[in-house]
Amino acid sequence: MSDELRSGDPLTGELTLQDQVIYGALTTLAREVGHRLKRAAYSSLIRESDDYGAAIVSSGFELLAEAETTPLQMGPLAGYCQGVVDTLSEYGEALDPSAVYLHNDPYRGATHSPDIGAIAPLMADGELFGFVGTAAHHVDIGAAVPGTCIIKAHDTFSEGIRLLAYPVEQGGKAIPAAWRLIDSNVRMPGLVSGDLRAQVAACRWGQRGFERILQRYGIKRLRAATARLLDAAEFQMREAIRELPDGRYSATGYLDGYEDSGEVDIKIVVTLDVRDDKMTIDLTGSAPQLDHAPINMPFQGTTDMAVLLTLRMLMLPETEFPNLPHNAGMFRPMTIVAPEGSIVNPTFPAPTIGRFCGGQMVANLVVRALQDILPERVCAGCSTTKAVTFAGQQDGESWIYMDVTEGAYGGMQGQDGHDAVDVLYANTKNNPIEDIETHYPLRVERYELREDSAGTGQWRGGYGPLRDTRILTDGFVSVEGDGFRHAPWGLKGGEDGATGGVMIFEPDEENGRLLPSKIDNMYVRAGTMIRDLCPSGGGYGPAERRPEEAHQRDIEDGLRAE
Amino acid sequence: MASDIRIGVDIGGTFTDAVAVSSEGIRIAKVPSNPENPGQAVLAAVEALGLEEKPARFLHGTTLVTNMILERKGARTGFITSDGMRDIIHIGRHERPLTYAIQQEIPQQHYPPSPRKWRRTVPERVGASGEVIVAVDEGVVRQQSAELASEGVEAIAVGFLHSYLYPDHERKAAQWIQEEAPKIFVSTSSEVSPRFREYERFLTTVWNARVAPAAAAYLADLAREINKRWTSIQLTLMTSNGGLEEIDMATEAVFGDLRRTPIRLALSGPAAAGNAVARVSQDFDLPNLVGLDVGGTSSDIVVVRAGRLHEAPQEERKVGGYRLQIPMLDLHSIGAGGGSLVYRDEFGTLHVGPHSAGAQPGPACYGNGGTQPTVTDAAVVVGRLPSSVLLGGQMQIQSHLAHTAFARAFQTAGEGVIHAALEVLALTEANIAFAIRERTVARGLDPNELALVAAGGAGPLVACGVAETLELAEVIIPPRPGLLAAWGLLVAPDRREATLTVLKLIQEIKPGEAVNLFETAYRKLSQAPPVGAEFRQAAALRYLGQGFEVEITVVDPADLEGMALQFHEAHEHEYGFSIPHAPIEWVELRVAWEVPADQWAFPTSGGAHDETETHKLWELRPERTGALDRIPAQTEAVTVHRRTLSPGAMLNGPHIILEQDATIFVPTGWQAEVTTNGYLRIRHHER
Repeated sequence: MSDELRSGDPLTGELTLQDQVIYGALTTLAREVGHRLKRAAYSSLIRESDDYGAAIVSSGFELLAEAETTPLQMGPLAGYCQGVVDTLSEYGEALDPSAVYLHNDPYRGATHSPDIGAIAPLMADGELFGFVGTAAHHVDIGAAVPGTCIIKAHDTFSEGIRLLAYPVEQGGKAIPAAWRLIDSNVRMPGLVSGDLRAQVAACRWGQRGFERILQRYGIKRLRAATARLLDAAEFQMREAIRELPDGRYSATGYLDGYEDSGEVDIKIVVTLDVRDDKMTIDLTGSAPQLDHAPINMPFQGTTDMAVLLTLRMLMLPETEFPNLPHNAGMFRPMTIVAPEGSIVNPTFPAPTIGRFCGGQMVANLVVRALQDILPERVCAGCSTTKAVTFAGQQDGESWIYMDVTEGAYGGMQGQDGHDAVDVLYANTKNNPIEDIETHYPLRVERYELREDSAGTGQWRGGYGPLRDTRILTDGFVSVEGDGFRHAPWGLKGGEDGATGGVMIFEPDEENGRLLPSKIDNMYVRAGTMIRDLCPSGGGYGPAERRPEEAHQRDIEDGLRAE
Repeated sequence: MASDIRIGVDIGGTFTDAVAVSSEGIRIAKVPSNPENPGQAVLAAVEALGLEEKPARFLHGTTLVTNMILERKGARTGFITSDGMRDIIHIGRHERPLTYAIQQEIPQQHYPPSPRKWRRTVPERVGASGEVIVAVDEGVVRQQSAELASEGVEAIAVGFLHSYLYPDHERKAAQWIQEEAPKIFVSTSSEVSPRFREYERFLTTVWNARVAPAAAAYLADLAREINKRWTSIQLTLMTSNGGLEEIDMATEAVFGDLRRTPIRLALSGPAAAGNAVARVSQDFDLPNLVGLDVGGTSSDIVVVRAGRLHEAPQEERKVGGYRLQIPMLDLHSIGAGGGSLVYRDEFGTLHVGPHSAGAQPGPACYGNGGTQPTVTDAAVVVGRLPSSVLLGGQMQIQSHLAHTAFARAFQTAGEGVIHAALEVLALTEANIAFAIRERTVARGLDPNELALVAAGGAGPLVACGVAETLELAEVIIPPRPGLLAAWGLLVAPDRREATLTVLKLIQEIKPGEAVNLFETAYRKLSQAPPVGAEFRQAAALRYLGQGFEVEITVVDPADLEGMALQFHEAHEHEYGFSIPHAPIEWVELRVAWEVPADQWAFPTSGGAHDETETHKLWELRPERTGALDRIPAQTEAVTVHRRTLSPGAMLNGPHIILEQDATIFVPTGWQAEVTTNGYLRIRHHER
């Protein structure tokens, strides 16, 4: 044992205490970096909804440690770092250790253009150890219309300012011209550059924190420990895959698409090929990319993360593996195949800003594909998250508010689906109503579960929420959603959940009308109310097997009529 | 003549401790706890103190509310809220506690403190400036409360949007509910926690209503039991913010009274221990300390910075997974204690806790039928707990049972058992060190300037290991470390605080107005400040548009420019940047008064018998000087009784120092010094 304690053991995935301490130090550092960003941020997307991430990434672009926010912002940070380095080398530039780079190119590692990364190198004795990075969703990045729910994008250039390995600080000094370019290209410069400044300051704080870790352990020890931590995570994932029966497991689903152009029911196919301790995830069969609609999912940052992070939840759930280091080692046994030119691997310059719902469908299909070989860990169909943007002018200044409403989980073995939570590869938060009403001319009039909407089953689906928001000035509304045409599926005899929807109630109108799942910057008069109906999860197992008391409780609670 | 006796009573899972302090000296009593009727154990402890004279004050820290929340128990609770907001406390912030798991528990959904059937909405709406949009509907409130009462609801919480700005609707509704159902406990969100963010405020209010009937009964029982001994003694309770608050048991509960807002007792127990650590900071003039109180199932961690205790950041205020928006010290609990069960999983990774052997059966070495090894058993196996130790001053150790438990669980024998136990202790120390790191190093505290104050039965056993992992400057063991919470009560200040929401641009506030705001806040303090009170006034500010505030101390409320300057500096310090010309929003202000406790100290001992013995001890030691990797090594440790040590004594490790309710381990390479006031300061030779 004493030898193991000293060196760890690659054959058993066992880690030394010091490895664990170093992992703790890096994770704590990532969390603190994130924490500083959140507390200093302006945008409610960052400070209330946690739509940001922070991570420590190796010089080989492997995630080493991350904060505790939404996975879809943390997981991709390694890709941002690679994107920065690749961009610089493309232009024959060297990485400047004194610089902080902004980056948001979805074809070079970024998730989509509003998620801007701030990346700073971590140096050790003049050599690159890795990076500290933050990524955050910004409220406006100067696209054709206010906000970031861009529905009509011709190409990636119409999705806002493009920042490629763009230094905003060098040699400890801000670059005024760099900030001026950003300020002059976004609609809410004070807010957006305030948030970017918080990102940059958080990275700087991360660099100082890394210095302390470096002084403590020395570079040799740090490199050895991080290598072992990656190996340990890889080992655990290989063991978990090995336990699955070899074979091919497939699932197919559809995105709503665009009703006005007739490009609807976009097919996505996920096939998992399990062989020994490896897995290939093949998305062949998925629809071709849409050249002029921003529903395409960049392969790196969206498609890969939707697959890998969902597999992490299924294969190595935190509930059963509480002490597992979360790093890129666990992704090593996975190979993802996504045909170029398809919706899951579009080619430049196809627009991608609305890639989010598609990513959730990919995640949902990964879960569904495993239904027969991991029945105790999967869930029935989950509903997607939706973004609704309200925008306008007040006192001569633009205001933009993006409301991220959650979905619900499908039922699962032994447990009803979670009601009204963010799902699968996303884990953001809502914005308090009191905060929204304090900052914007909006009033949230209802925020409750959608009664009678969950898929029945032995374990029913979760109830999605209903949210009524009234705009108090003239303004604009955009919607980026999905699941209006296709309901979250039931599993193993459970029933489908309810589809989602958005309704508009004109001022002083009793009756509303339904809108499609994508709305591009629609003009609305003061007093208009938007009703957001989130889909509800599918049921798991036949409804006849639902215990009577669970059924009765739902009735008593007023969640269903009978 | 009034006596100057003060009694502090702490009820633990196993023992109830009482400490009495007066100019005459100090008395201590320890009796078994009585979970069925805690008051009886308190009375027994008080009797055991053998005091004749009636004490001036009776101080108490309780885990009653903590445990109710952790066990999801309490009154049948209804919730009345604004139309459209029925599920706010169910949806929460729509995040899931665990990121990487599908199946998991979401506390407010799986264990709702008020189930949906008892959550009712009424026509009512107030806007973001505190303006009434829809007046609260009296008829509906009365009808809903009558219905809830007929369904057997015992408590009702009321939460309306923006009530932190406009509490009148909640007050009216509470009055109507009380008239409809006089026996029901009613609680409003503007009374419990008048701050913005509706989910956190509503949930806190609902939990407050849910624990209040039991808390009131508990306090009444306690008062009745003590009054069997002495009549008309007032209870003074430790609150989650670390201050003592007296309850006038002779009167009905009044607005803001702890009987009306018992949720403020959610961290009463650990907050008492926190005060003891703050006292150590003053005794040694050490501004930065970490307190570690290791009990049976968990370890409490508290950080003293700049010589005082600090509040937890808003988003970290949680108990049992529920977000609570109450003043709360920065206290952190982890599921690792002396009774934590240890095991190796199928992948060979070692785990300590979170499950515990509890008081029954307890660690294997108790001989009460426990067969799974615990941290305490590991300490027995390696010789940190020699067989001459009496646990809790009464229980004999059966070391062969500890060995057997390890041998069976780790399928090993001989030295393999020793190695497994050493590994368990090292991991326990590492886990505690992680938790401390998050609260210290990660917040910019240099470990070289931090001392670790270790207490609880098992704290002094692992303290040096924790300090070594974190490279902390030294370990300090106070006298009677097993009584930390009880003596924390006796050194804690009395405190009252009040908060006022401002939400205005600082540039738009006139000096006179600012002075008025503070005066209004002072009037909200539910009791007039006593003579000798120290005042603290603070403002929470942010750049307009930010969501979190930086708090600054306000010296002169009329000097708004000074406040702005102070804020820019604080922002720069905290986040690494400031925006000098940006508008500043004043979010809220806080005022507090505080009366420090009378000074007292444990008597120093020493000079009794110099009885020592030696026994085998296993340690992990560096292979060579300066190496970080450590290997098992066997040595002989000297065992001494603490009461025999005189001030100035120096002990070189390895040493085991025995006390009635704790055992102190001084490893090889460390040196313990007995200070003039009876503390032990343990430092590493090389630092």
